[in-house]
Amino acid sequence: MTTLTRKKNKLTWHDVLRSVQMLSPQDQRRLRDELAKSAGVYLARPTGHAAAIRRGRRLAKTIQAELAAASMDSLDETMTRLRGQSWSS
Amino acid sequence: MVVIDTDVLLLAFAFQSDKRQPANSAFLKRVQAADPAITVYNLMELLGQLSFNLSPARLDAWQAWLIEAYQLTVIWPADLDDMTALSFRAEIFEHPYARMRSHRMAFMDALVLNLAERTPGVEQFVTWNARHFKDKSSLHALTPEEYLAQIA
Repeated sequence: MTTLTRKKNKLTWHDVLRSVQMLSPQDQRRLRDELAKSAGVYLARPTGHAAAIRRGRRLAKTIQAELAAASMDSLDETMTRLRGQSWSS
Repeated sequence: MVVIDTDVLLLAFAFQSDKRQPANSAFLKRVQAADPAITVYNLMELLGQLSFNLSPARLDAWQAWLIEAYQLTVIWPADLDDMTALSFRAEIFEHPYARMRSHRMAFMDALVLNLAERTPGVEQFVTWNARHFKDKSSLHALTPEEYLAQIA
């Protein structure tokens, strides 16, 4: 009796690339969109250290006081300038 | 996780006499228990606006007066350090453009939503312009006042 063993085909990136290149331009674009959708994100978190929070809050108050003296438009005028006509609070 | 739009932070820093300030402050305090976040696009929009009125030294300390003070997580596109031309194109052009065509929205709105929506765990988007975002995002858009009413 002969036992046939089949070697498991391991897909390489090159195999995938060749397959993708056989797709229509429209399907290539669709694939690219799907891959981009699954792209993850990187989250940069605050340190959360009590001393850093205290220092940050002190500095925030100082900056708020400095900005209170500056002449600026209203929030709505500023946001309309930044985001356009869709801004309406 | 709750994503906060630029206007809420701009109001906190630059428009102290605005009538929305009490609700805005209460929101920024309460939301710290709900893992608040901003996208890197909001960060840059805010810093750009404040650069007209703050010294470079003050601006440089944003990690303290913004991130640590309000306990904000900053959301970045994951592969920013080695972004390929294709992923850059998708991030900066294709996805925002698709959203502009389908929902009529400004470039910055589209950039922010594109990144916020694909962040795991983000369900809410808080802005004083929430009305504009209703039916334009998979996230629940609400104002700071609506957020406070919801958790009361």
